[in-house]
Amino acid sequence: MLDDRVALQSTQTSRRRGAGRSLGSRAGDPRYLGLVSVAVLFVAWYLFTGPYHVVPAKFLPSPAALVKEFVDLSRHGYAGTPLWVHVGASLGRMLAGYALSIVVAVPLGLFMGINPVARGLLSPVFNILRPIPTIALIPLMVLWFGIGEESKVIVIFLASFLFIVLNTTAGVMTVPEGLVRAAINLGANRVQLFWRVMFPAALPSIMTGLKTGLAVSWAVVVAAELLGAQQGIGYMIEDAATFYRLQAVYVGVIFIGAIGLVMTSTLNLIEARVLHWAGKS
Amino acid sequence: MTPGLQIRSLSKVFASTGRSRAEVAALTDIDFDVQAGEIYCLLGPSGCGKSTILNIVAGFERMSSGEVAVGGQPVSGPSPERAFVFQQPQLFPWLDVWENIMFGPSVRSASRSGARERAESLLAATGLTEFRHHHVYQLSGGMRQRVAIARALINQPSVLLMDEPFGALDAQTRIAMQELLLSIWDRLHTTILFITHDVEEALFLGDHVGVMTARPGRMKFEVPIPFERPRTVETLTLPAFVELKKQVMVALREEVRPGPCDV
Repeated sequence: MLDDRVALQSTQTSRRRGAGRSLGSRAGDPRYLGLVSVAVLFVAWYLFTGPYHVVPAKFLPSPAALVKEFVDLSRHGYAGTPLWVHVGASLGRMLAGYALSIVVAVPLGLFMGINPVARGLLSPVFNILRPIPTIALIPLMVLWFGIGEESKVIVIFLASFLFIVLNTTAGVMTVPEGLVRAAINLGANRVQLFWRVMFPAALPSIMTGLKTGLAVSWAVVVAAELLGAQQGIGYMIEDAATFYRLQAVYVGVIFIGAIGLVMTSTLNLIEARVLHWAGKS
Repeated sequence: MTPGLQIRSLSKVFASTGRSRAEVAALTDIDFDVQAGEIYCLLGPSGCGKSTILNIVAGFERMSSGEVAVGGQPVSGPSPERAFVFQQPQLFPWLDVWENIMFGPSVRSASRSGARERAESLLAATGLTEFRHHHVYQLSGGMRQRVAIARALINQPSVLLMDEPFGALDAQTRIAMQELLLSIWDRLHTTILFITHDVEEALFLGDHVGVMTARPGRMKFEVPIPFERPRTVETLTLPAFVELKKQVMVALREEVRPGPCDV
């Protein structure tokens, strides 16, 4: 009962404090600060490329020129292919490789977490492979799987695979012994112990792997699309750069950033909803 | 009267992991009985192995030799029959208060309706009724330990094993928790084996207090606690309580004073 009252009081205090310093606290909020710096960047970009011509258009087009290019690309497509097909091709490859990675890596990571033999056999292999940048494997994948979709999807798969496996294994291995003992003491059998305690306890760590995996998978899409693709944002950027269509290059880069941001935010949203306890003690 | 918990010539030796290969005796020839329905407090200096006794009774650790029986049956492995309350609450943070309490019945697929009724009455007894949908991280330390007690008791154990459950709480909360535990025990009369290094806590809660020696842990002596129940904060200041507390503290001091070998 005492706890209630204390909790109530502290809410009231914070509310009062919030009312008194609404202006000051809003200015101190990191989210608003972020908006400020983005706005400053945009204004600087506009001023330097438009009215003042500090930066020549051959290095950085003006915002207006990019909007016009975007409208053109949306209307006529790029290299005879509609813009949304390029975007869809990149997203499709990325999601195929990433989904494949999750389907293989999470179960494998869980198994390595609970099985010392599997861990002992596989950990050294993964530790040797870990420092190799996926991009360095692209020529090999082309050699093995050709320049079709397979090699691209496999490169994207490889990029996120190790992050997800290693974080999943670490998550299982760092489940507090006390929680395991509590569950056993309360009557959980081995299967229940795994699904109702080890797995949920490992979820925050698995999520860390999924988030890192997503970021690196999306990053290698562009690199994978340099391998003789005929569609995709990476292809568009590469091709446009070859023909010096700088504005199309910029539109492609902005698309990659925006899509990456949307996907990361989606995962963050899922994390906040589903893993509500993560990071709280 | 059904037998509670018997411990007979219990010893525990840890194999050394160091180069010397010497074995380390943690417990030597421990003997004591906990009567059914009583609270037995095991008191000893830190490192005397009192938690090891509890872990062996719970089935978390193996004994090197001896016998442990609950209700006349020798123990083998963990069982909800011997419910455990840890020093840290060890609640499942992805579950809310209600789901934590119902964890035992749900994994044991025990009768749901009976379990729900017990959960309701345990929520009421621990003052958590309004907090059933709260998440663990929204609760104070004392409330978390109340959830842990309710979660252990819902399995209707024959023995409740408590490993310094209030040791991490502040002084005021600790006294409130001790009174709460006594009020619950007053209703259920569950047999309780309670580990502590706090003399006052042992004398306040226990029907019997067993005092242990420093490592290797042996039983030094056992005292019956004569104070009438229900005990309250006033019990703590009775002259007889203070006198008994002094005697036990003097006995314990001999154990924690560094001997010639320790220097």
